[in-house]
Amino acid sequence: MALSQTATSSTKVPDISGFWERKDEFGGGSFGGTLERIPKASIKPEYIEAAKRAAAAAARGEVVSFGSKWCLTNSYPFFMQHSAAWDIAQSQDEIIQAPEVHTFARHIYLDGRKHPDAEHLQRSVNGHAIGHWEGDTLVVDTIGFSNTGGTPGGGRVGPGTHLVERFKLVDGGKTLSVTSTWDDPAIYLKPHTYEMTYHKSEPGTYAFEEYCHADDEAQGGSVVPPPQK
Amino acid sequence: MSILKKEEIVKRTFRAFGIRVLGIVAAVASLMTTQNALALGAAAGPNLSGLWELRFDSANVPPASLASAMATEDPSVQYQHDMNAIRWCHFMGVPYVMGVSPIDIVQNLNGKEVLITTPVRNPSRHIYTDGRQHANPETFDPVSGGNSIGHWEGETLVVDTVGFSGEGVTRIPGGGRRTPDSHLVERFRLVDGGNRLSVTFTWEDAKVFQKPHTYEFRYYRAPKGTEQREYDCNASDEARAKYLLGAPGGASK
Amino acid sequence: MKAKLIVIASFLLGAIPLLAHHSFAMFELTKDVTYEGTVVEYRWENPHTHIIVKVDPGAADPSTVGTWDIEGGATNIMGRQGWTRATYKAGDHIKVVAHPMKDGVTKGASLFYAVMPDGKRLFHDIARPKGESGAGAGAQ
Repeated sequence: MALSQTATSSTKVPDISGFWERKDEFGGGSFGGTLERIPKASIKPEYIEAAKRAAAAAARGEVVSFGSKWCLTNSYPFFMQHSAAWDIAQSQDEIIQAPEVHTFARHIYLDGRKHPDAEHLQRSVNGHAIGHWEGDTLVVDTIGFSNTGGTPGGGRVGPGTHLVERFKLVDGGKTLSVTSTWDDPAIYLKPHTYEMTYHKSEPGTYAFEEYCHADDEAQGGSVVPPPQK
Repeated sequence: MSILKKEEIVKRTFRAFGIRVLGIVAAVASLMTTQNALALGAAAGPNLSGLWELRFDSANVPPASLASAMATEDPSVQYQHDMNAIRWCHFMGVPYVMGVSPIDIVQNLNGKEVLITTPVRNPSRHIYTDGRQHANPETFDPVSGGNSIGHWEGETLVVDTVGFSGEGVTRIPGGGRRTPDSHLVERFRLVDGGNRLSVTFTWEDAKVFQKPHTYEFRYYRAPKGTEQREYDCNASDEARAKYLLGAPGGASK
Repeated sequence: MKAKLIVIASFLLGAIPLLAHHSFAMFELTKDVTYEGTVVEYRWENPHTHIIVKVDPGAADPSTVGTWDIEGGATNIMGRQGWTRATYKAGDHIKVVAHPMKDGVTKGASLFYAVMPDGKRLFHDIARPKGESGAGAGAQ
């Protein structure tokens, strides 16, 4: 069975498939430190206040969020900031990003389809993503997020959020640069752009599964001081 | 010079030219690979990519020959295990995800992996076709989808999976269940002019089956523009939990 | 609708919980303490791996004497850094660097890295010490 006949046999695109993982390029000292260089998003005051209240709750010792305790689905762009590797599978008409965490694979359609109109748009945690190649850069346009969540730099995702990403191989194909621009007049004072880089995993890398069991009481906890014998 | 000798010279000349052309093509292909470039257009072999639907006549599932302990097990044991997995939003695993329609297959253009995704909240199936062996069982953490490696036998993708955990919905069509000792061999091939995808599943597990258990799904190629939904799962939804674990027809709230 | 509000509420609990199972606010993340002793228990599991470490009296750092719950990451996070379910077992000698609890009382800490007998460090996740790159040639 042949691939789509729309492309000629001379059309070439970069191979971005395989496993990609974040590394701490600058020595963050802790996981939070690895994200400190992301420029801060310029968001509306009500979202800044919400974040402050949440940080205060965490400082008071509310250790595990409701979402974590109940293994609620990790919305995009969670796995793009996470320490876990994720896999890209690449065919002519579709690219899939496959994460290890409890969420869904992300489908990026490359067959020229448009976003559905508002009446037919099925919202999802990864949004509706369509992509095309501009030379050696994959440009992905996403709308239709169903959940709310955070983004690197302190931004937020909402129903009206629009995301444009540019995926490009650098460093001889050993690194994947992803530049993200988030925009949503309900949340952002101006579009928020940042770049994250991912490093190609070693050959032979295979996917793990990050299982989450809400019925395990450990899911709702952290350290348990051991008996002192 | 005789005509035959002239013809022989012409043949040898074209043969040498052809070999040189093939050499150039191989060199260019090698260059493309090393420069991380993929050529679009006609694939060299079968292309399983696409969305595939199960319809009313897709399944050919004979009853399994079960080992005696399995055959005499109280059916509620398997039922409660599986309903618990669904209630608590665990990863469903294989074979369950192959039975939720449509599946989406992306066959890497570089030939190194085939990915299968599912509408339920579950990791993708990674079928490594880069020539690797199974992961080291001493250190591999068993998972709901197992560890899958694949190779082509002509037009058939043969996938071998071991390393399953007991996580998720473990019942197998036709009877029996997936266990950490299960060995699954699947054969994927396009049939009906590429409009259908045949997948035969053969399970072996001495504690479960008297002999290998085989069944087949023939998926239909989904209409152009079909997209895979996200069937989300919320373990904190008490009404949902009450429905799944309660008696059918019970109170809705 | 109720479920959606709950999801929204969960994500309003700050940026850090979005990136980890729980907030790390209870740990002194800028403080690195070395715990050296014996593995009592090595629990390779989600959401966190736990290594129970007993540090005997006479340790170089007296504040580390006692039995500690050294909390690591999820098995896939640790696995990507080179850990496996066979990295340790009860009875093994162990040397780990971890971030202690802020309260100064609870015998728990957040794993930064373990130091193997050959000197190689096994990190909890992608984070590396200040100023040290985890990418490029020679990175560990």
